[in-house]
Amino acid sequence: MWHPRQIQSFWRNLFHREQLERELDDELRFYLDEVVDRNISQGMSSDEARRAARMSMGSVEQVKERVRDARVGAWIASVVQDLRYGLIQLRRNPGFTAVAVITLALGVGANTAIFSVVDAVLLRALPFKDPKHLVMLWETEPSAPGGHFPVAGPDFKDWLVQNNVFQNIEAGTQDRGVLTGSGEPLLLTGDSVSPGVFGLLGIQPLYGRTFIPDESEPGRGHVIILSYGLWQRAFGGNKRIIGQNITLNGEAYSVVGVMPRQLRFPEIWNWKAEYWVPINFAQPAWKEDRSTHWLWVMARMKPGVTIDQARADMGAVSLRLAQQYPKTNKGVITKVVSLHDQLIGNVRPMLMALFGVVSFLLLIACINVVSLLLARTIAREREIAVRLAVGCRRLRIVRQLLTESVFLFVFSSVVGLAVGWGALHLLLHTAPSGYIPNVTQVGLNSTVFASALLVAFLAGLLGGLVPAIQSSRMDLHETLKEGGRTLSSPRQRFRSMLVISEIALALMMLFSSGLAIRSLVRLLDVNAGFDARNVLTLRVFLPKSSYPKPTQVVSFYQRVLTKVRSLPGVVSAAAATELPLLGGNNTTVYAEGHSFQENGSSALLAEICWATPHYFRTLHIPLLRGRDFAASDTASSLPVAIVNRTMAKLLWPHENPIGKRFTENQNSPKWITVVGVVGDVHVSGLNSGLSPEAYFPEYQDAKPTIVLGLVLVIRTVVSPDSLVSAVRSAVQSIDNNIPIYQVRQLSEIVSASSGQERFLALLLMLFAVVALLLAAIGIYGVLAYSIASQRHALGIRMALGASRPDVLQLVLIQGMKLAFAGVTFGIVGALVFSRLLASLLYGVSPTDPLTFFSVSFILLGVAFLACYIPAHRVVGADLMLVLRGE
Amino acid sequence: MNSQSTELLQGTLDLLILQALALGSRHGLGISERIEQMTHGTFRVGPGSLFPALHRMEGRGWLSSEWGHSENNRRARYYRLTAAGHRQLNTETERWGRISFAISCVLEAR
Repeated sequence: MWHPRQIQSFWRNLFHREQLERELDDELRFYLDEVVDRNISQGMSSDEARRAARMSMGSVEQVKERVRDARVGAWIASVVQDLRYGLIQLRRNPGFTAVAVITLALGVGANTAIFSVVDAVLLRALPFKDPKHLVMLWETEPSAPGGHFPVAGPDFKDWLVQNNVFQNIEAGTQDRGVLTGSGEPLLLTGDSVSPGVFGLLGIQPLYGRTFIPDESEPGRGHVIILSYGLWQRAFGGNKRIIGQNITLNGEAYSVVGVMPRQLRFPEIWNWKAEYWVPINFAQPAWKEDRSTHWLWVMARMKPGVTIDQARADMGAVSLRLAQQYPKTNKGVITKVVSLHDQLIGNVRPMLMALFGVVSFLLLIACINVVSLLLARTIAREREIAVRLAVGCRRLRIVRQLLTESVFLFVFSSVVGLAVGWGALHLLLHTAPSGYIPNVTQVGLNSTVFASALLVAFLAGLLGGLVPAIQSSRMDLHETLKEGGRTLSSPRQRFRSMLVISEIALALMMLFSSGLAIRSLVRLLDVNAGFDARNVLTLRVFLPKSSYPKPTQVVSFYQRVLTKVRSLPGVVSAAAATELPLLGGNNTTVYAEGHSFQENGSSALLAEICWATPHYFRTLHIPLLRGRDFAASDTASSLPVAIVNRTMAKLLWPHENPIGKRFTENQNSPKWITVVGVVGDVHVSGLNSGLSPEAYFPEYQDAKPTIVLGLVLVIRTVVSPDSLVSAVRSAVQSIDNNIPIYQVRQLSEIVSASSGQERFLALLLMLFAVVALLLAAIGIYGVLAYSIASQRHALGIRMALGASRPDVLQLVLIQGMKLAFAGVTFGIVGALVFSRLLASLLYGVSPTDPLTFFSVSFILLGVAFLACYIPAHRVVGADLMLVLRGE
Repeated sequence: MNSQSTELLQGTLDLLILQALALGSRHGLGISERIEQMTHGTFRVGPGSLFPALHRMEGRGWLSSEWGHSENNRRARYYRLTAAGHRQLNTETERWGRISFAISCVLEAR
């Protein structure tokens, strides 16, 4: 069998090739020299001797080659032998194998699924040309809630000219359109962009072309580019659509290009573009209106420019603008964010938290398997002792046990990869939309495979090392005598340490999931500011061509609402530009006559929304002062608004806001009079703070593009779904070319808004439960073995008079000591880990004591159960059997 | 290889090497000479077969080797049987005994 020298030669084969070659050389030279000597002693001359020797030996190189082949062959043969033996062992113990494989496969599977997402979203570069140089530019003010806001048109124009660091700047915004003329009208989301956007990102169309610069001039902008999905969905993938006209919002657009299938255009604000049209530079917003902020801006830095240099340069530019236009731009600075951060930045903490948790799970699984391996080598003591006695070298045994454990780990990993594939697909299907940013294709790729197998190999080596070494250090005599039941304490101590670490990890996972659950509960508790029960919502979109005049739009909605209100089962109905919780538009407003902030800026960033009368009544938003909108608030009457409580408190803290005035545009002030104050409503989500908000009557001077599409809200007596068809007929009785879209109950929207927190809590809980189970199995295993090997001693105790409860207590204390130690370490670890989770939590501190206590309690309870079962079984056993040592 | 020698199967060569080392350690040339001597000149193993076999058997743990000095003080590699090697020798010897007995039975039965 193997000498330590053989191990040396194995290493030499790998790392000391040269030395081996030299030795072989020496050996063969010796052989040759000896043959020469023999020839000489037989009477040949030295030359003849040498020649004869060479001839009889043949080609030295050939000999060397054959020796090299033989060496490799021998090594491979012995590894194959180890593997075969290992396989037989695994098959002979199906229970052990099954448990180990399942445990590891679960850990690896969970890890694979999450790592695939992490790899695709965080690690891989964006699929654009030279993505590291792509940035997004925003405007921000120190007082702005939410971090930043879109860019004003004239500011963008100035940036184009005044910057020194960008080779390309483009802008865009969201667009909505109704496609008619090919089957059912489709409500689409798209982007209206400056013509160079595709060039900026390095995107080539699949067919046709992208925009040319003069297509953003007035009159040239009726061209459209389709996404691959839209092209397939609405036009059946027909190539002849290119060059033809389609009807969007009642107007004709010529299709100039189709985008490739795998394109993932940046989804800013989670807005997925199905089509692209050029921005109309002649719109009023482009002129001198610096207070309407509506554009996102993307730029490519010049080669060699860093993002800090870009920030410095844009800082200077915005300072200049602030000095030139103090009324609108005072205090406004530019925020530069890398495109990568923009698209995935808010997901990073969540993904890292998940990855951390899932790594713990894998660690726990590995610990369990190592513990099992240890138990098994203890069971195989006899077999190993016999092999040692017959002369097998220790290192050979170690090598063979290592081969077994590596094989087990690698095999389980392969199974785990399959599990992970399934888990990943499940994850992608059930995740709320927008949860996983759509930046690159998420899937099992070579990185994931390779890292999984590498980790498995290393884990197998490390995990198998301790059992292998421990088994080979056995004392032969003891083992053979006692029939293999010795309680070797270093081994037990190691297993105990394993269990303690398992429990600590499980506690950390339980703690994270507890925090996430409490977060969710707190979130759901938040008073959204309105009553979502029994409210039906739906969208209606009017084509501009049929409703070119604002009065026509107004009349349409008035008639529709009158009809709907008269339907049986309808309590009240209204319409507005946006629903609460789904985000909306904002603008800066200036109160008449005073500045309310210390830094002298009198501008306030406020959310805005246009609503019809009865809107507040329908959603049960309390009217605190003044009046609701009325039919008398028209385009020709006094411009009015209703503000929310936050806005009233910010602008007129000690005065009655009714009758006060404010404006949106400082340059040509059109004063708006406050006629009412309503309660606050969460605009962009339950976990965002409360912002000031102003409501304008829909029937007054509203920007036509927005008001063409409104959301109807209808409060019903009973189940809102039952009224859908009645509402549809009501709408179509006014104009039967108008379909209704996005029919949803408001309560669904509310629960969807906490969708991300819900999902995270679900995932964390799932992982924590699995971890708890594994930890319980771990503690059970260790304790069961420990008890089994102490049976004799315990039996004697009982024979000497100890009662069953006493013995039970003794055993339980042993086990619970481990559990307490684990919980203690776990709490320390959890305190550290939860700090990383802080940004994901809502309303819960990362060191929340209630969660600590409840989670520790649960874990100790489970541990107790895991200890009780084996203890009970032993104590209940027949005393005589125990004493006889069965 | 010497063109006169009979073709050896790999297993047979292993057995010859094992037997050659049964009584003590030898270097490569010494093993080859001992085999020739034991078989009364029937088998002459050249370096092209001998050294690959020696290294292979060392890899399987039947032989161990160490460097030493020859009779005329040259540096040489000496091989010796391990415990496993001894056991392998016994096994092979027994197997050969059975085979040769069987064949001789067949031949006698003609």
